[in-house]
Amino acid sequence: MMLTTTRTTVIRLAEELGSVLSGRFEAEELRARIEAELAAGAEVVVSFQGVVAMSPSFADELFAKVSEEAFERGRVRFVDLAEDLLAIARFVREGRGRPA
Amino acid sequence: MAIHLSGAYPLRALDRLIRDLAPLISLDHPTRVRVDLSRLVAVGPAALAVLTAVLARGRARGLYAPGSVLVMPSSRAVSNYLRRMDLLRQVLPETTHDEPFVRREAVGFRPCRAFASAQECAVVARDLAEALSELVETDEAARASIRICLDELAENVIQHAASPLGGFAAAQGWRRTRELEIAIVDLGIGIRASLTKNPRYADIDGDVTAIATALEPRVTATPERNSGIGLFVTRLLLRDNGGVLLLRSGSGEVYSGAEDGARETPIRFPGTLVALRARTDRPLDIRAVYGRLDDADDHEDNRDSAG
Repeated sequence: MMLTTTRTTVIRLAEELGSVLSGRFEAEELRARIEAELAAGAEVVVSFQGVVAMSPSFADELFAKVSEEAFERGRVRFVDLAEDLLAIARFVREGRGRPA
Repeated sequence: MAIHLSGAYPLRALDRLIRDLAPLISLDHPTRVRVDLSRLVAVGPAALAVLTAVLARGRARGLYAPGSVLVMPSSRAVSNYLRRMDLLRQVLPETTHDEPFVRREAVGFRPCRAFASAQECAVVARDLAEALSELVETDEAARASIRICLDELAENVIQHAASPLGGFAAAQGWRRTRELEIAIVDLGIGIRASLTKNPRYADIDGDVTAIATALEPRVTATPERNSGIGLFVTRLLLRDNGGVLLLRSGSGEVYSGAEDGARETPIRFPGTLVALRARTDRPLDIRAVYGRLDDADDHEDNRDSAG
């Protein structure tokens, strides 16, 4: 029997980008990094611990454009989201016809 | 060609400013230009950003013939203000000086900033938000909200204005009145020309309608790339705060605040101006706006049903 392990990459946004997440360009880079990890077979956990606010364009790039298949299969997970961040995440996903 | 600016140019005096700058705005061949600011008494961020954008465009196009001159304000305070805001770096080859200017780092002031890339948008947004927090009392939520709005508005310029020069941003806070004002200006194609690139809005007739439409949720010229909610969220934020959001583009002006309004303007502005004025003695919290976004969807559904 062969055992396989899955690598998990944890991205702590507040530590890497600060407590205010703003700018589509930064979000594009983040999304590209997530998708590269997924393509390499890793699972990705994105932690919002310490995040105070997030811009609509950042949310759109991150929540509404990241691979839906990876999202649905739980290979990418967004954790520690405050209620207001969840609300903007839902809003941008609905705007692109994705389930909230 | 002689341009004279005199008196004060607060946000409500945009018509007069654009009228006074009209010869410079329509200038299309090299000319000796004299811009006389000697009787300028005061200039707000919106006027400063417009003035800087217009002057910078002329310079970038090589329209200022030798001998062109900028006459600085007679008022030492106003002159120093413009110098602190780095107007001189943007403008005419020659400038009259009554006396040497000694640069000082003043709390709350940042230059009127130009930006032409997404990265520069982020830097400008962060820098101006910091400047405002030095000058007026703001809490963490307000600082975050200001930065997010600035970033969203600046990115709109980069992605929709098609302006080779990018945009110009200026901000100022007033302790006494507990207000802050932010302005973002570009001399690009304007909201109507941008929005009608999206077939869904191709039939929009007039600048006022185009601006009003751009303020609605999920309206964008580039739905494949943008979500079209930056302006909408900014509008809700300012409304909650008791502030005002003003957009001017082409021959239209729309403002949103305690009262909403729209009008055809007497003189056309080539490009787009977005100005927001907020109160610092009331909550300015984008997180509260996000909490009400479901209501916005209900509003949108009702509008679609009515349509």
